Amino acid sequence: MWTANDQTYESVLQEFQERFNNHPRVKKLVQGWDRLVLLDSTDTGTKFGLIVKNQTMTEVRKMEAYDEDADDLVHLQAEEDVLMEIFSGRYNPATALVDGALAVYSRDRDKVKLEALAMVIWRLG
Amino acid sequence: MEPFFYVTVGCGMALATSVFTMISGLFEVVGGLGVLLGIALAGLFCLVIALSIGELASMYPSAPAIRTYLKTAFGDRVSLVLVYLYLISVILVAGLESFIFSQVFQAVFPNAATIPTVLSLIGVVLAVNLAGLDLPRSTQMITTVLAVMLIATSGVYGLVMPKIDFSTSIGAQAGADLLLTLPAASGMAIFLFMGFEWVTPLGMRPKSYQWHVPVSMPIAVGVLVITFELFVLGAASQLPRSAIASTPIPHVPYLATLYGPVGVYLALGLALLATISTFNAGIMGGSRLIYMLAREGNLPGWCASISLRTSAPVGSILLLGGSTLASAIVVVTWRIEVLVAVIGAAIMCVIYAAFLLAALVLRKRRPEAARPFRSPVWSHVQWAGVIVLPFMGLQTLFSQPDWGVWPVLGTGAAVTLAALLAWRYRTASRQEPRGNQAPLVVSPEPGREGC
Repeated sequence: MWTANDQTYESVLQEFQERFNNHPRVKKLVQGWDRLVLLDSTDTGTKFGLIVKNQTMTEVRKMEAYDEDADDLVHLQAEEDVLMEIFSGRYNPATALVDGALAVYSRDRDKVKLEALAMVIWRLG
Repeated sequence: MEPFFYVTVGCGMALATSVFTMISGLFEVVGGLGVLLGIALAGLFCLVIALSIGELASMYPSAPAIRTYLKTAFGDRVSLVLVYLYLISVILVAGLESFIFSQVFQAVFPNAATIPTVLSLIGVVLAVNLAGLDLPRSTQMITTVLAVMLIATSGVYGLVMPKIDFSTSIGAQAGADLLLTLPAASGMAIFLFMGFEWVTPLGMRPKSYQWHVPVSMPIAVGVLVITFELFVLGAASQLPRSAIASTPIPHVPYLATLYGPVGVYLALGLALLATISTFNAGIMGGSRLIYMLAREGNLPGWCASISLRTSAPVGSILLLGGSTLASAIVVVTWRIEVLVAVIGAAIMCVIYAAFLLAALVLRKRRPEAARPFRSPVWSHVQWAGVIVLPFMGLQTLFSQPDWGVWPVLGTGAAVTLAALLAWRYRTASRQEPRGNQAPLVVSPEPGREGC
């Protein structure tokens, strides 16, 4: 069952998906970068998966289960408000990471890639 | 294999070729017994520090350790000064490391010139990083295990097959003399453990920070203590103190004495293993820290430029590579390898004290924060570390009277530079809105798509 908060959060992610898919520079940035970006809210327990495949974010969906050992997993963990701020472009993910508000479990390059994506979408888009 | 990987990262980051230079410096200052005690004491301090860092890592999993821990504990300005100081020490050590590599290389290839060797080493590492190549985890584990095994087994072999009277190298320093020089020796020996904390952002999953990452650091420190002590014992059984103290690469004559001409090749192999793991990972980790600072607006915007194709932080890699080269040239020109190592050790004593203090401050300031791992060390011991470590660092600067005021001047210059950078960039970044201080610059590299 969706709550008002879920809808708001999901709409932020849907909007992010739209921006992601409509941005020509993002396509270049995610060339060969097929990933499951898992957004894990520490306070609400909600988990959303952003699935990037063939230079497109093909799906944004709630996740019940996932393979935490998968090579293509990029796991983001934060409070839901923080994730919403990040994915609506109001909070620089690099700063969130430094502030200790966001945890990212992935290879180092994926961290840079994620932040580059966010900045291309909101700063130079 | 996951916990083992973390331990090998902690060990591998510390096992640089320049640790042998510092061991040579230790033999010069205190003699063998002092070296053994200095390493043991430094290891004990690092054990306490590692447990505190483990607690901080469990509070802020995957965070860029030094920046996050110190910022949340001490605020932006103080943490920035310490982060810049840390970066300066990384650059100094990277320059030293490339110089020491060139010395080992020349031991095998006497006609090789120093500067071209240094340039080649830095060039290769930069190219690897710019190409966005990551060292596979298995390679990290294998290189570290090989290095530890080679050093430790050689130590045991050297000890059981002594070529000289052990007491010649170990020496019989009078009790009072030993006590007087021990703080400086311990401060210098902190250098040997530098980098064990670089494992903190590398946790693969949230659960890694409950136990695996925090515990891996004290284990790595323990392994390092045993490895270094065995090396010292082995070296002292094969070479007189003067022979160990007179070269920045004492492991080369030691392994040559032990194994004959093959030993020199083994020393080069050891240097290559260190380059694959420590030097490469140092450039990668250091450039990531510079990139983060630039993204926060705490370094020039161009340092945050990245490659669209490889996602490599091009600007920060080039800045770090250029600074490393400058540092190496200074070391090569004035042959100040031990001096640079001592300045690096003194800075690290202060940084490690800051980590200890950060854990204590955050226990008071954020008692409610989740701490899946909590340091079991009695807080009075941690407070003692906070006080004693900077004192040890200061003693280190006066460990060799021949150097005069140069260690103090060098450290003073590093502190001044760090303070100036913090003042310059923090003032600029404060005028920007939350978290959006620096624009992203994507490098327009030739032949690459940019934007």
